[in-house]
Amino acid sequence: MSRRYIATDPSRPFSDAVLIDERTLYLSGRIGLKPGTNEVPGTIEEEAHLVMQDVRRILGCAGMQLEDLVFLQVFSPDVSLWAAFNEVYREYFSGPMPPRSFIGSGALLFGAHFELQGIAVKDQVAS
Amino acid sequence: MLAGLSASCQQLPRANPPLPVAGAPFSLAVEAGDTLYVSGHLGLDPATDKPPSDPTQEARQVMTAIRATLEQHKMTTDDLVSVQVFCTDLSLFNVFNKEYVTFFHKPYPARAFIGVKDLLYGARFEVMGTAVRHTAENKKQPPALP
Repeated sequence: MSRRYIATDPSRPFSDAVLIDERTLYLSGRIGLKPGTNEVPGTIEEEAHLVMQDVRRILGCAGMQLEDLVFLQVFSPDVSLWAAFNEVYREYFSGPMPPRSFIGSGALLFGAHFELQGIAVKDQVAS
Repeated sequence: MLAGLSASCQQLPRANPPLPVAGAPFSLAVEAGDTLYVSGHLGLDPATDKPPSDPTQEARQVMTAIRATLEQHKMTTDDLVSVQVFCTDLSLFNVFNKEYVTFFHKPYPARAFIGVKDLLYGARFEVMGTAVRHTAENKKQPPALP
């Protein structure tokens, strides 16, 4: 029984992710900020790329990849961005994509248009 | 309800029964193996079923409610591994955080903080999460950074 906390910024009141028994990874809500800032980029497309890269980065800290996601929630204050988000999202997957919800929310922190929170499982049984 | 489940589902290991909520179509928490799935909790004043006028008080109240549910399953807030906070007013982010951190020993659970339009009963915060048994005792080990 092990717990590994991935916390790239210990001043925050949350961990980036928590890995249980080296197998199940609970990710925190991820936002597509410009690196090193608390600002979202100028375009929706760029923000979608940044948030996907951020999710991939945190998965990588646990030795996992996007294909290991088993559950993903996307929160967006503007559901009209669904298609634009999907277009970018698809580029990050080559095989089957994880179950996902896309939820219209209120405003998100830092004026973000997307916040992603998910669960990944390592060593899924090969089919 | 159980009658509708297959035999294998009925044998799902479960140390405690789900916590029912009077008259509500959900349980406060359900345990499956070592994992406890905790429903969305609100920080209402039990006397009035309304949120306290002070958001700080409401933040403390909602986390106290979460802790009470965990304790019914012999778990603590340090067993939480993932938390979702839904909030009707993002300007309360720091107010919430100030109370939130007092309920944990570091390192903190993963968390999302999501703005929403409305919550039931006029609440400002709704908190739900997932806890895994024995996480609290693992916190005594130094946390591993990437």
